[in-house]
Amino acid sequence: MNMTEEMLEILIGKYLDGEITPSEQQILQKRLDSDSHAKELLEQFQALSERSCEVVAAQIIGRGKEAEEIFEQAWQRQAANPLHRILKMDGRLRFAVGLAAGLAIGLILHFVLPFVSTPQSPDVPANIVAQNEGNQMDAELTFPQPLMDPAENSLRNVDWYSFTDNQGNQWLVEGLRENIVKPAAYYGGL
Amino acid sequence: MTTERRQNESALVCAAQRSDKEALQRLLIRNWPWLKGLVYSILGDADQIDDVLQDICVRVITKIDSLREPERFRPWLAVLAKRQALRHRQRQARRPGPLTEEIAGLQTDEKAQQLFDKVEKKEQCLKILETVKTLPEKYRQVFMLAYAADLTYANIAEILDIPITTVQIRLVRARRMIYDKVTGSKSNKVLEK
Repeated sequence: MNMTEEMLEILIGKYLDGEITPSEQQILQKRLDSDSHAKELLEQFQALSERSCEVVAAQIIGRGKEAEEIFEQAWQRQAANPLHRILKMDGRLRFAVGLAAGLAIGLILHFVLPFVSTPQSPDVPANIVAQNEGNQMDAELTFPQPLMDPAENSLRNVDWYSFTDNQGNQWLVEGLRENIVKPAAYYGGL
Repeated sequence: MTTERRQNESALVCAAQRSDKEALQRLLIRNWPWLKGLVYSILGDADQIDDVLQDICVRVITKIDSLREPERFRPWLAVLAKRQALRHRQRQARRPGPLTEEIAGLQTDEKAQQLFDKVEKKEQCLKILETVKTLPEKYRQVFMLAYAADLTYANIAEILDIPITTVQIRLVRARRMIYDKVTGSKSNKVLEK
């Protein structure tokens, strides 16, 4: 098998790093036996590898503080930070705190919002239709108030319609928005 | 062996997530050599490693809860360490120091010189050190992990989250680059035996 230069370097690298398989070692050995340049390259890379170990060891290993000391300082640093303590809370405790905070915010909104928000709509419904004789709008005309259902004690939104029957009586009909028809109310004054 | 190591590590991660200080300490100390190598590969300055390592420890202590897969602790730690080291490097770059880069480099050289006084081939060591610093980051990371922590290809691949073949290739190329720089040309001998 014809081995390229890069393949040779990969095999040398694997050999130096102790990652070479027996079959790969056989291939490398064959090449080393037959090629003096390959042998020289292996020796040089081996020396380079040894020096690299020394360099890295001198730069990193046995230099600076001990790992335990650094960890201890980091532990104390994070313990001194109250935010970290909150973040490190147990899951259930964190859930309870979140729930309490949510409840408090809800209560605040419940009591504060009615004062802050806009007041209820004016007494007169917007879509009221009124008709009087001669189809003239009367400045003094008093519009009917929104119906208050005594049974339910609640306000209802209604549409108002008026019409004139055969006898000339004017009727004011309330149409509930919920498509409920209620008995018409007669306002004699209209 | 690897599976057993991984199971032990996962158990330690689970304990650390329950705020077990001792487990967390063991977990970090077990991974300390390569962590140091990785940080050095990004900073290129041994004097700043301890500060960054302390920052990394703080991050690990506060963020260990967020690790969903305990068996992937090493790649998680590597990402966290790289991010922290890069942040530190950016901060240093922004900070206007009294020394220029060249003078700072010379100082490092002097420090390295002092360290290698007792080493027989100190010139070669210095050359290698300078070359390692100029390697592209991806090659430097693999090189440092291989030499600082004596990790297997599989371990390096796991930490950096890359295929084993990529580790092999990067290591071969890193060696070749150092070889070329140190010798000046491919024909010359790289080092004296």
